[in-house]
Amino acid sequence: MAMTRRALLRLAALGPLGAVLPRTGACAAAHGPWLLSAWDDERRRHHVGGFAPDGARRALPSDFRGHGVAVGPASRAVLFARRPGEEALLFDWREGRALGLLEAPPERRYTGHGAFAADGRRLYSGEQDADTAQGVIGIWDVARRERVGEWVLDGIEPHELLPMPDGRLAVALGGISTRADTGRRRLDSGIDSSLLLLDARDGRELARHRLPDARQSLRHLAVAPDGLLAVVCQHQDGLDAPGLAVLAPGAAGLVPLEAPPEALAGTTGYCGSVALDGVGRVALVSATRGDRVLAWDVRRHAFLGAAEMTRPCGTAWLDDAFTVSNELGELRAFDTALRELPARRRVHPGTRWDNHLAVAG
Amino acid sequence: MSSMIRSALILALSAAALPAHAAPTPEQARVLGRVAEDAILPAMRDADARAQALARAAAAYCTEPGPEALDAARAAWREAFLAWRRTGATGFGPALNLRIARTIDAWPARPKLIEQALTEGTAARDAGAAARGFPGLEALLFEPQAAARLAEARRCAYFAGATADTAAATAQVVRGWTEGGHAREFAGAGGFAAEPGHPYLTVNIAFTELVNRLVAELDADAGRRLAKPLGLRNHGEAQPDKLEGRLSGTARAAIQASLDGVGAALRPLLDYLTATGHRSLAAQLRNELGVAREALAALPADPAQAPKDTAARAQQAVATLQHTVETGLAPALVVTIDFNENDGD
Repeated sequence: MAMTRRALLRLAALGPLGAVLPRTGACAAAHGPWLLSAWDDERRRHHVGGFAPDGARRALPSDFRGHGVAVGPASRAVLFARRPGEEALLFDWREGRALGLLEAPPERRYTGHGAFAADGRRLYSGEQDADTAQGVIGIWDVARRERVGEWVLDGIEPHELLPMPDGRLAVALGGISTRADTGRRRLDSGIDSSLLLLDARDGRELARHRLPDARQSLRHLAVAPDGLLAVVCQHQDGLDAPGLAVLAPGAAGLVPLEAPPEALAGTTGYCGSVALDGVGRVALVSATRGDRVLAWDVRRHAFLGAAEMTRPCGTAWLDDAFTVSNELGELRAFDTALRELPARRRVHPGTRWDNHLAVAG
Repeated sequence: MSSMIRSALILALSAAALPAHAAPTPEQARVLGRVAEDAILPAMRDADARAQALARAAAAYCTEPGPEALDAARAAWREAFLAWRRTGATGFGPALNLRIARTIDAWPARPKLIEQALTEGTAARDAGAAARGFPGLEALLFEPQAAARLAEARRCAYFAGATADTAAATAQVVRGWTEGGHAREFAGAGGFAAEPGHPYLTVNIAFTELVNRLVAELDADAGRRLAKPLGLRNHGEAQPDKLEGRLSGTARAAIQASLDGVGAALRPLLDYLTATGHRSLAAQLRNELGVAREALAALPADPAQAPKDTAARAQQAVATLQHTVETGLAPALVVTIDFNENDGD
């Protein structure tokens, strides 16, 4: 059952929100970070682009439905096709200009996300083998738009990947078996999900972590300045389970965070994405099916509260607040106490934001 | 209007808006039955019969190679491939569950893989998706040196093996629909309340399978089979080598065959829409299907030779039909084309 507004407000009031200093929603600076995302218009045509704090917009059409955007140096970004994808689009977000396509090799399919290496020259792409579904990380020379290598993973379905401050590459292995030819259809009910930490230089596996609940598919990541990882999952049995776990620097393993049952009611354990605030203390998670966003203090492992929002999905930390997108064209901002900043609410009629937001610049 | 007629009209008009979990109305049962009997089964049986004929033609060629036998094998390939394309619009159920498309229909072919398999003595079924099935067979049959090389014992054995595997795959799909009971279950969707785990527990599941498959097929026609190879997209150059069936001169015919399959599946649905208060939507779909057919017919046999505007018109016509299926037919049948939800992302 969906949570009522009153219940949400009560939760927000009762939770340890007071312990978290609210972030102010100061007016967006004319020059500052941009928000990047893919979206569909009312005719389901695909686009990708960036939004400046002052509302300026740079958009370009995409030939495929996009998913994650990897942000690189010099206004470069790469939009990855939704899985199973065959293309990624390199573009200049500041100019709204396409720079070329990165086509997956015939026997590989993109799985929706990628990330620039710390040197800004190489790009890692999450992929799977078209026949066997074996997980693969593709390695690209961005300037030459050329594939220069790949690492075959011990596992299936790499989803989001993120470079860590210490030089490792975090990879969320979703662990769900699909094949290129049958699209997104699950081939069996099994799942083998884990969080991989790789040496970003050579792909060597340095660590692997799993959750106690093996039915959780680990899918999306956010990393704090000190390397703390926030990982969100999607429960494969649709249980109203809290979908956030953290891996603190030096910790032995992933710690699943708890939340009151009433905060999770109706979420079916589906978390769309996660963002951390600027200091890596508060994580905001979009519970798309529960029509709400949830927040935790990831240092104290404490649930902070929830706020209503219809079909939220993309999340980002931008200008001292969380920005959340949805398929109704809304961009809404929340402080770390989950208070909305109404002055920063934007509605783009006819726009269906896709699943993720990225911050550039 | 008498009260009886009015009641009947209300019943008919409300049929399309019934809750997804309701037992099937007579109209719903009828339309699913027609899709199974008039669209799915004839197309699948035809595809299988022609795939078996191809396997026989290949065996005959390898037994007694020669120009006539090669022509016969090529003709059999064309017929089998086009017949298979007509099943694309209804390629759910056994074809999807058995992952047949990857087995016999993974384009583009990679001739290097075939040569590698021949060198290593690998059977076609173990040679990788791009070296077998219709793409691999087209590469073997229609490459410039085929007349001189295909009769070679090892190459012919590989060729005959690949046709036999293709025929076995189509036979498996037909068995799934017939002896496996998939057609009966699809047509009877919503009538299995006593079996909670039944794959067609509700009518909505059957409509969802069908409509999503139609959208996927039209998307493949408009995107992968037209826009990408013909350079009609926003980014990227034309890639005519990615036209499926170009080597054999069947590229346009293959897209037409796919659209024929879409038309066959749509026909019962259009009647259903008309009977359930969606007359204008049915007319729109019928019209757009006709426009797409005409636009495809205007393409040359090798679409890469088409003037840009002719190619763009064909691609746009198919894309328009896809859009109406997605945004008109799907909601009219209470079918969801997933966006954010339930997609594991």
